[in-house]
Amino acid sequence: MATVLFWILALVSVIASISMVTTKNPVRSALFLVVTFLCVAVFYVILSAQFIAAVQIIVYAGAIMVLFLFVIMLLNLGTPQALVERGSLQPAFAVVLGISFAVTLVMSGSFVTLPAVAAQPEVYEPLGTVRGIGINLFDPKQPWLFPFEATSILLLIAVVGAIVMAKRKV
Amino acid sequence: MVNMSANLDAILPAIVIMVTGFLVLIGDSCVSAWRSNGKGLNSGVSLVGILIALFFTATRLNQPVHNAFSGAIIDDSFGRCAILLLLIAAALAVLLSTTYLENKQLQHGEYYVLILFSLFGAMLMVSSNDLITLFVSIETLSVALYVLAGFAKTEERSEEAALKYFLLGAFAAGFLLYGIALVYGGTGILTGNGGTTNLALIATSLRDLSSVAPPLMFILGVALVLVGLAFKSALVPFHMWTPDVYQGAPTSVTAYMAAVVKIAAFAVLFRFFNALTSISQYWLIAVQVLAVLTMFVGNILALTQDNVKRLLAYSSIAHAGYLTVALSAIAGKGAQLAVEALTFYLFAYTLMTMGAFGVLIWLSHKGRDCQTLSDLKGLVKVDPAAAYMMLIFMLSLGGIPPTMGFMGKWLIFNAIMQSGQIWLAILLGFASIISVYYYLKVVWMMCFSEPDKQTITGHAIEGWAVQLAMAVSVIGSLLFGLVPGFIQNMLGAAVNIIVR
Repeated sequence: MATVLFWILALVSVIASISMVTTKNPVRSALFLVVTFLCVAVFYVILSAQFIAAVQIIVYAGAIMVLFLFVIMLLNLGTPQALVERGSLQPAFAVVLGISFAVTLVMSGSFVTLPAVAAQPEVYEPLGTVRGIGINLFDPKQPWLFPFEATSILLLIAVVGAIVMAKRKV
Repeated sequence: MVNMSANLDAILPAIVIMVTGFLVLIGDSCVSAWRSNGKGLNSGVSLVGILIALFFTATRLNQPVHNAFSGAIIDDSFGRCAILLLLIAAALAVLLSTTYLENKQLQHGEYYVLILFSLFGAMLMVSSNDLITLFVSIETLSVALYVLAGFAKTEERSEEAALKYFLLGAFAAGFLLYGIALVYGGTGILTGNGGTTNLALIATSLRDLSSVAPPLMFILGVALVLVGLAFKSALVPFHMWTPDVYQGAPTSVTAYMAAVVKIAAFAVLFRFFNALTSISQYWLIAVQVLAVLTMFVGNILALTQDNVKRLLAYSSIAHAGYLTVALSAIAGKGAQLAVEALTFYLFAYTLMTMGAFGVLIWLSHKGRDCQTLSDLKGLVKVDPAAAYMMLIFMLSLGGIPPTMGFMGKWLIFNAIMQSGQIWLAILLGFASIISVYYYLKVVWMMCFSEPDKQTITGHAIEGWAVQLAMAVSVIGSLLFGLVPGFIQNMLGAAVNIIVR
């Protein structure tokens, strides 16, 4: 069941992300991104990471996407001509490097062994719940407490920095 | 049994810096409410905080290794040495900033807050023993620097620098995080019982299972982490942002960024690859190629620059190349020497780069930013003290005795010869010879050209702080160049323990 779901959604998410890159209309591109986000959220559920799935939908598909659409509409990016590049070698390079990266990934077995691992889950089931994440995150015997606390300074810097950048004249 | 006070003790200098940051953040808004001329207060408080942290670090330099926060942080002598360098660099940067900001009317408390918090991030970076902690601290350093690069909001170049640095930095962070995820998965495949991001555990499992080839996923992860870190330390081909950002950012920020980011990034690169020495056959060639590319591209592109800030940016790329040479020496017999050389060179680099930017800051005054070579034309007749100081820094950067730059290069040369990579040592020599040309070009401009109407005249008023920073840099570069034994003994004793 999970495997079938995985393959269907994998197809959908790959198609959606390719269309996101290739489509010329920014609003459509953003909507394709939403589809990709939702598919990824379902992958998280399949991997029994329910909390991350919920966060993915709330933060990315919700908040971030609304911001994206706001910016697109405020800047009125209706004309895609400016985005078209001509005579650039970049796409060719990107295709070659992308294919070689994909081949490396396939060879490394990360694509092939994933379903096999899913068949015999080693993950401790309640790990993905809010409770499981909380216990792991705040347990002083785990090394995750410190980076979690350090993140508060990171967020403070972001707040101070945003105000510094946004305020034109002091 | 988890002992929280012992844990906090391990990051005491970082906590001092963090608390100072909060004090400045709150103090600035409180003081400006009832006093309009409390301008020196922010820099003063920052400096006192940095000096207290410096004192704590220096007094405990040779204490035993201490793992804290369940393996997230390691408090060892190498980390303390790196923190010492970071604090020295930050103290010099604060001294350089005061007058410069006053002249450019950028004197805001947030500047020092961002400097202190980014310093906090850098200090955690060099003592992190877990890739997740590493990532969070790198972001702490970077986000503050993105803002600092764009601190001169009225200048287009500064805004461009901030945006460029931010976009490329975010991209590099993606590489780093993807790499960390693949390393986690790779160690899971390797050991068969769950992955880990702890560097010490990765090192032991790689050593214990040295008969098994590490999975390709692991190698891929290592490669992506290398890309992420190479971006931060501006190695070719991940260096594109460096000249624009160094040129666009306010000069005091450039000085801080050039020194602190290099120290932190190379300390992290060393920690990461020191954990992987048992599989050096997989990564050594990549590091060697990066080293050669960085040395030559940096030096050759620097030849044609006529903006001194840009020239110093390319020169910093070249110096990153020399440091990468030292990094590739940790894989062999010369590991001990390599760590010593790396730390010594980082110290030398800090003093000479800070000093060179310091001269530019000293010469900048109201409405005139000293940036181009023609600004320096015939400087020796206008401001001999500044010219002679610049001369010493240029000689040191070029690696000419009796300066610290020469000693540093000599140590790296020695280490790489010991590890048996003689061709790399020869290439290092060639690259240094190229570099002498553009350093001497600056000297030529200053000493052997006649001053004309473009020459910068006058300097920052009341610049005692800048003078102090320049004096410290000059004395340090000369003294430790002539008598390197003192620093060498200190570093040698301190880094003795780390090499496995």
